[in-house]
Amino acid sequence: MAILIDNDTKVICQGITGKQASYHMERAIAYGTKVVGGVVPGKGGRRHLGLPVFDRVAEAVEATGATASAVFVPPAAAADAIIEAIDAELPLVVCVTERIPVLDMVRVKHRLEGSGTRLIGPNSQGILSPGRCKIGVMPAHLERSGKVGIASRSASLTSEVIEQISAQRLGQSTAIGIGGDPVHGLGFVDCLELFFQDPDTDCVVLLGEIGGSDEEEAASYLKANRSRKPVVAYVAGVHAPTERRMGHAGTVNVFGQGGAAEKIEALRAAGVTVATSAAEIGQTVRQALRAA
Amino acid sequence: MAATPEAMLQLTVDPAAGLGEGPAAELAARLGLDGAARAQAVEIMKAVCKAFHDLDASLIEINPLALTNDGSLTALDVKMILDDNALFRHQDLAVLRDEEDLDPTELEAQRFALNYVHLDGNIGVMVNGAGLALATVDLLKQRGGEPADFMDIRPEATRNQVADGFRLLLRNPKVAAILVNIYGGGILRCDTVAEGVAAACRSEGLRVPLIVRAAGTNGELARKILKSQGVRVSFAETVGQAADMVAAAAGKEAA
Repeated sequence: MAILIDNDTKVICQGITGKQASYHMERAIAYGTKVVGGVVPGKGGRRHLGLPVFDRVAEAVEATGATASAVFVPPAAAADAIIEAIDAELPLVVCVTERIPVLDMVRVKHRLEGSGTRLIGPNSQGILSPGRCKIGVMPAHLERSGKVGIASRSASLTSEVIEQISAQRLGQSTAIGIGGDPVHGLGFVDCLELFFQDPDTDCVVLLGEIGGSDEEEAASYLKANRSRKPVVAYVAGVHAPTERRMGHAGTVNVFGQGGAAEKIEALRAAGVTVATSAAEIGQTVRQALRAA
Repeated sequence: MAATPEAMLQLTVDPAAGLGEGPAAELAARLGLDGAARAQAVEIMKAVCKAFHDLDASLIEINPLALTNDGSLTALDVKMILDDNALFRHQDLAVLRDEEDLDPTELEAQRFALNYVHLDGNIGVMVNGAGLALATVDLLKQRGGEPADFMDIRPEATRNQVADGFRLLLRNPKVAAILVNIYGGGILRCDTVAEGVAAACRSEGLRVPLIVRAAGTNGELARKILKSQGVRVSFAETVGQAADMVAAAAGKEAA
C-alpha cells in the first residue's frame, strides 16, 4: 500500500507536449503509472504519446476519470494551471515547475484552503510508490517496495536515501518530494499524518534542509504525538554559511532562523532519531525499526 | 529590538484583500501618531502593501521613517528585495540589477546553470541538487575535509555548462582535490556530467586528484566516459567512501 497514490491512480499531465513533460510521462507510463491524457490549451483534440489532449482540465477529468495531475507548465502560467486543477476538483496535484513567483504561490495557497485538493510542490520531484505509481521526475532506479515512508525537500538527496534504504534490504511505501520552494503545498506535518494512518508504513524519514519552518512544525507536531511510528530525520546544511541562498529558493537561513542546528535540536527534543551523517541514513532507519 | 520584542508591532495582511483602512489606522495609533501624521502613516502603509504586491517584492523596509518637527512623516531610507522569479513581469526593474555587487565567480556560475557559493577550504565540490550538495559539504567537514565551494548543478545543465562549471574548480588555486558527487536523476544524467568534466580536464588540465561518485541514471556510462577519455580519476561507490577519499587526497596534497 501507499499514501496518496496507488495502482488505480489515473494521471493527466498539464503541459504534456513540452520536452521535459513528454520525457517524464513516457517514463511514468513505462513504470506502470496509469496516464490517461494531457491538457494543453489550444491543442485539444490532438493526441500525444498515444494519449488524448484536452484544452481544459475539467474536460480531461470528465472524459478520462483522472484523479491526479502532473503540472509541467512553465513558471509564468503554472499557478493558474494549478488553480485550474483545484477548480476541477482533482484530489491530487503534483507540480514539478521550478521558479514560480512566490506571490503566485500565495494565491494558490489561498485557493487550496477548503478545497478537496492536495498539492505536492511546486519545485518537486514528485511522488513515487515502488512498483505501483510514479508522478513527476523521480528516477526509478534502486527503489524497492517496503514499509519506509519518505518525505523530502530535496530530489537528489531522496535518490541517495532510497538507495541507502534499499541497500539495508528495506523498502519504501511512498516517497514524496514536498519541493524546494518557500511557499508549497503539502508539508512535513501533512506527510507525517498520512504515513501514521497508513497501515503499510512502519517508519517515516524526513529529509530536511536549512531555511523555512517545515522541520520545526514537524517537531511541534511530533512532540504532541509521542506514541507513534518511529521517525528518522536528516537535515542538510549544518555547515552552510548564513544568509546565503544555497541552491533551492527555500534554502536560506536568515535572521538566525532556519538554521540546521536549531532544526536538529527541535527534532531531537520531539523524540526523532536524527542521522548525523548523510552516509548513514539507511543504517539509522534500520536501527530505528529494530528499536521500535 | 532583539532585547525588547514586545516593542515590535505586527499586522498580518490578507494578500487577496490587501491592507484595510481600519487595521492600518489602528496600527498608526499604536505608534503614537495622531492627526495629519496618522492619516499620512495610513497612506504610507497602504502604499507599501500595494508596492509589495504589484512589484512582487519579498521585502520592503522603510527604516527609519522619521516624524519631522512640522508633524509630517518622511522615509529616510528604503530597502527592497524583489523576487527573482517574478522579474519576467517587471522588465523595468530587471535592468536595475547591478552585477558589480556579486562575487565574480558566483556571477559566472549563474550563467552556467549552476548555483555556486564560495567557501574557504581546499576541496572543490560539484554536486547535482541543492540538498545533496549541502549534505556533501556537511559530510566532508565531518570527515575532516574543508570544502572550497558549494556547487549545485541545476537539472537543466548541459554538458558545456558542466564543463564551464568544472573549469571554475580547476582554476581555483586553493583547490587541492576535487569531489564530483552525482546522483543521476530524472533530468540530469551522469553521462552529461562526465562529458562536461572530461571536456574541462582536456582544455584546462587536471593537476589535482579527482574523486568521482556517479550513481543513478547512467552512472556506469559516466565511469566509462571518464576512463575512455583518459581522465585520471578515482571512483567511489558510496557518498561516505567518496568523502573519505577526497579528504585524504586533499590532506596529502596540502602536506
